This record gives sequence, C-alpha cells and structure tokens, in this order.
Amino acid sequence: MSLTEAEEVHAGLHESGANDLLTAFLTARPRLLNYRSSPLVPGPPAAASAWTTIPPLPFPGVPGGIHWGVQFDLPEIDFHPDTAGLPPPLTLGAQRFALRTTVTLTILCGTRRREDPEQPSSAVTPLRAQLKLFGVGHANAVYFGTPGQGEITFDVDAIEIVDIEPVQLEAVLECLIRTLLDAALGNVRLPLEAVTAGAFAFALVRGPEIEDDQLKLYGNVL
Amino acid sequence: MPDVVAAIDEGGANDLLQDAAAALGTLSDSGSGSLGPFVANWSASATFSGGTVDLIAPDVVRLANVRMDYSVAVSVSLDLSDIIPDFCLPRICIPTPFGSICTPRICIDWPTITIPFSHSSFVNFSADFRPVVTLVGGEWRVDLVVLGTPFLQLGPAAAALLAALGLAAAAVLAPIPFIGPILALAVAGILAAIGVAGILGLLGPILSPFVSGLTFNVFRQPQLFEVVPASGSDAAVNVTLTAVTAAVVSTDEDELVLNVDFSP
Repeated sequence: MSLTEAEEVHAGLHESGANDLLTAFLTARPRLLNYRSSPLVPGPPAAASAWTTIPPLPFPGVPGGIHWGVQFDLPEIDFHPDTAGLPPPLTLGAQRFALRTTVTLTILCGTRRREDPEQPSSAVTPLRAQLKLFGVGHANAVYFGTPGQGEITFDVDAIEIVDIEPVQLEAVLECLIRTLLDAALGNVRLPLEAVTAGAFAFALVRGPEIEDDQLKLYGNVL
Repeated sequence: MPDVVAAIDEGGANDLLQDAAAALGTLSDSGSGSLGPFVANWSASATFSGGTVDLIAPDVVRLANVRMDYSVAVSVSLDLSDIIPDFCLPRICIPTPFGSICTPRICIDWPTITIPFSHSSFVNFSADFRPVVTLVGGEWRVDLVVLGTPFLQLGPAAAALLAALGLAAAAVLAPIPFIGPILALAVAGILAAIGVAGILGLLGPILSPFVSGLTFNVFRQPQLFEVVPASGSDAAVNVTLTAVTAAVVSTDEDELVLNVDFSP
C-alpha cells in the first residue's frame, strides 16, 4: 500500500517525533506547564517568566483567596497502537493517543490571624502532591483561510490517576486535572508545516489520522 | 522509524517539479566559441518548464519532454577578405587630343565586419535525475540532479540560426561600398564557411551546460527548523533537523519519500 493512498502527499509524524516537538515547544514555553497564583508557590522553575499567573481560589472568609499552583511534567505521547501500556480502565482506541505525565499540585497552607495571633498570616507553607497520570486523547486539524495553512491540536478525553482512595476523591481529582491538562495542552498548536518538517507544501484533505504509531496527514500539492 | 516520513506521488511530483522549474528562474551564461572558422562571442539564457515525472525505484526521477526555452545572441567578427577575394580596378587611360586621361588604380581591401544575430526557440528533452541530499551552511537541501548530459535535438534550431545569420550578414554588408553587386555572393560565402555544422558546433556547447548541470530543488530547510515563530514574549520554538534522506519507493504506487529526523 502506498503512503499517499488516494492523495498526492502524505506526511507521517512518528510518536518519537511528536515527543521531540512537544519537548521543544514546552521547553521554549514553560509557562504552558507551570501555573501559580502567587510567587510564594515555589519552583522550580525559578524564573518568573516560566510561570503563568492564575487567580487564587476565592472563598468567603479567606482574604485574598487560597493560593495554589499546578505543574505538569513534559508529557510523553504514544500514538495508537498502545506500546507504553495504560492502566485500567483506560484503553487506547483507534485514532487515539495515550499520554503520561506527572502533575504537581501545590497549595499554600496558612492559618488565619484571628485564630492564631502568634502566626503571621504571611507565613504559609507550601504543600505539594505529585501524581502520576495517564490519559487518552485525540488530535484535531484547525484550518486557516489560506490553503495549506493550519494547525494540529490535541484534546485530552480522559485521564487515570492510579491508587487514590476513596474512588470519589479519585473521580474528583481526575475531572479537575483532566480539565487543567486539556486546557494546558490546548495551547500546543503544531503548524502543518512542522508535521512535515517543511517538505511538500500541501492542502490538507484527510487527517489527522492516528495509527501505526504515527499521526498521518494526507493532502494535495498546492 | 524516522520522526517524519513525507511522501509525494507522481502526480504531486509533477506539480512539484513545475514549481521547482519556475523557482529556478532564468539561467544565463556567456562566453566565446568557434563558429566554423571564426570566433564568436555569445550570451545565452534558458528557462525550463513542462515535463512528465516517472518515479523509478530506488532513486531515479525521470523527466520526459522537459521544455527548455532559450535565447542566444551571437556576435561574430570576420574579415571579408577571407570570404571574398580582394580585387583591384585597373588603371584605365583614355587618349584624348590633350593627352591621356587615366583613372587611378583602385584596390578593394574588404573590411573586417561584426555580425550580431540572435535566435530564440525551445527544445524538448528527457533526462534522468537522482535525489541528492546535502547539508551545507546549516541548510538541508534535497535536489534532483540530472544524470549525464541529455541529448538535445538542435538540428532545426541550427538551420534557423543560420538563416538569422544570413539576414544579419546582409544587413551589415549592404552599406559597404562596392559590395552591392556581390552581396549575395558574400552572404553565401559566409554561410558556406560556417554551415549548419559550424552553428551546431557553437550551439551545442552553449546549450548543453544548461541541461548537463540541471538541478531542481524539492526540499530546502534550515537545520535549525522553526516550528513556531516567536510571538509576544514567547520565544520561537525550534528543532534541529539531524538527518534527511530521500528515495523513490515503489509499492502499488511510485513515490518520492523524504525521511527526516530531528531533536528538540
């Protein structure tokens, strides 16, 4: 079977290449992995520019809200079929990718002044929890007006954090982190030209299709 | 498995080669060479278009009926005395009652003339090309480089160029004193001295280098490949292209395949 099939041009991005692109993208723009509401949420990374500032969690009676942070390690992608292994109940269906990463949740834990006058309100203790997570998702093509111009984006459909009890807490955390990870990964947009390493400019006709450990695009020469 | 596999079929390669030929633009050259017994200075330009791609595994891209449009401007200097003999009008004396009246002896030494002429036409040819990958000056290139020197059928062009030479020679010769009666003879002498063989002897070496060094570029990217440009406070995202290979792969279709590896 030919690579181009019924079209003129084929581009296949292997999962190793996709991970290289993700690494380059997220290393150049670490703010897409690191979020915090206060500089008191400790690094690494040390550089303030490596963080995206988010609002604290508001709560009545907590002046200034609850400060927190979320950090993701560089995610590693595995295109269908599953070669890295997923924990149940996740399964890697056709046209899907798996990912694995670690999320670090940080909360600045303090004591309200009026309850403990000896404890200054600014004395907060960062409490951190690191959770390994697995996910599955799919890729999308976003088209621009000019033929041949577009981007590949990634959506996270589900995640699994193993060994959290009770199950309800696991479900809450998984929903929260899936939402956060999906939003973070949504900022990763790979131009079509990157998927082809600049070879053979084409107008996308089919794809992205995920199979054979690759993300595949098909099109016709511009 | 390469990080990126990019493939294009013969239909797409046809389009790609048209673009590559257009990107090649106009090639030009100049020099001097033999035009029959004379030396001619010339300048020439050529453009390429058309052609049908046939991909042949493992590494041949055959282009059939590529059209080369060319223009050749030639300037040849020749001593007319080499073509037509010098002659002298003898002294003539006419006796009169007052004595003889004689005309001076007049000798014609034909001048050296320069004949500029030009010709534009096209020639179709077929050739095999091979993909050649290079990394030079931080830039990866995949070029289709012609194999050998394609045959150019220049016979009709040579005849046309000889006719152009005849017209140009007549125009240059016409103002020369005393040549009127033998103008046709002079032109015929020039054309005979050069002949189709002489034209071919000049035209071939002029046009062949355009096709013998013909190269079509099909891939060109900096080794430091920009994935996403810088935007606002965000830096550009780059990867390093560490390897590029090119081959023709035959399955149920023939395809030109580029394999690219990169590192973050």
